[in-house]
Amino acid sequence: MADLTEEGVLQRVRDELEAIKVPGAENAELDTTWEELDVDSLDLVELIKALEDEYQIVISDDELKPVETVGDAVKLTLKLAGTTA
Amino acid sequence: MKAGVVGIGRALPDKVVTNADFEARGLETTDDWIVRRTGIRERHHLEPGDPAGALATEAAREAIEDAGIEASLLDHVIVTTITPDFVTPGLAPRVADDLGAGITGAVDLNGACAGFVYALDYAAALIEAERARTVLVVSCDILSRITDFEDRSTAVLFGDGAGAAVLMGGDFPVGVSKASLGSEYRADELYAPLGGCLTMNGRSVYTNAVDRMAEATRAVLEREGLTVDDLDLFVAHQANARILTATAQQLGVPEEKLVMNVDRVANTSSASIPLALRDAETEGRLQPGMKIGLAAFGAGYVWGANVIGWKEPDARLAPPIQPGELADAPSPNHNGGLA
Repeated sequence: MADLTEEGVLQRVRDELEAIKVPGAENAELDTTWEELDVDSLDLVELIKALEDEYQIVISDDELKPVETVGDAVKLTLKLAGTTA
Repeated sequence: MKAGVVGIGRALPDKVVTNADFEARGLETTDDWIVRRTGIRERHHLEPGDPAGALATEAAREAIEDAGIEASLLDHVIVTTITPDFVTPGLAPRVADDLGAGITGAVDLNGACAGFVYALDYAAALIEAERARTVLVVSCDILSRITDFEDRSTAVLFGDGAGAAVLMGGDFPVGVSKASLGSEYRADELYAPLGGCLTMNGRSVYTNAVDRMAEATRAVLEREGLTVDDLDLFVAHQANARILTATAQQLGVPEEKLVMNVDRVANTSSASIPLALRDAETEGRLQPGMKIGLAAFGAGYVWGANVIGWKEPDARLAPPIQPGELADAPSPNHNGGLA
């Protein structure tokens, strides 16, 4: 069962960013922005699919639009998976 | 009667376009950006005005030579392409004529990036039904013809190339399995209008490509009573490195069994699987008798997967179809070498 805590999802985001070779992925924190990580829409596509598969959630394009930081992605994941951080 | 792959060939245009060439042309991109997101380092482009048909024939000749047969033995030629030289005629009649195959069935098939997997299934079906004994499948796409070179998100992704395979009928331990094929009409997500360029919704394409290729592969393995561990290699449509890696991960295919040549040829649509097979063989990774999983996904959406045995040493080939042999078809297309 996937670890549905803020720290657990944060680590999953770091792992996935590392898997798609984003420099500095292992040091990403909740307030780290995509801009700081040089994560663009192509990278996000893969990160989001990995989170959807891992936590069995569906993230719509509209929900994805305001996601600008690692923390935004973590919070959205926890919300959709039915857990409050 | 089963069908099996007995020969493979490929052809690439001479002109190599590197990532640095795109930077030099003023496209706002870098080699680092392209390699990290796509795994692509270079691709081949046909010179504008050069015919796709010639490239298709070059790949076909190599496959026929590799199979050790004469072109007159071909009962059917199937060419998969979304970039023919003319709206009509298609590439297949030209390839058959270039090869000197004589009077033989020759038809184009538009299966987008999944064309090769579809064509293998149709070729195997013709052979199993004994309507043909020797079928040539050529997959040839010139994606530079439908690429928007001003769009940095797609300009770097595509290349040109041709791959070909010869299938023959006989007794094959593995042969060519029945494919798991599927389609879902999503013309707004990945399309090229007539006379226009390829456009895509990256998120939808990525998600569907990974899920559909994995799903179709699982379906074929289950039907054949196999598991992923039974596959010696996994050769999927070379869309980009990330789609390949994600599909392999979803299926549990280890990295050493995943064939990837997208770094050298980019996405060549239906040509990508035979090009990757040929490269894997040249590198010594693909040996006779191996069991290979194939999977592809393309515009439509269309997708498919199958399992093939590679140039099986234990195969026993059936004799060629002779004129008049097909009782329910008094005038078989095959010329029996009498042309």
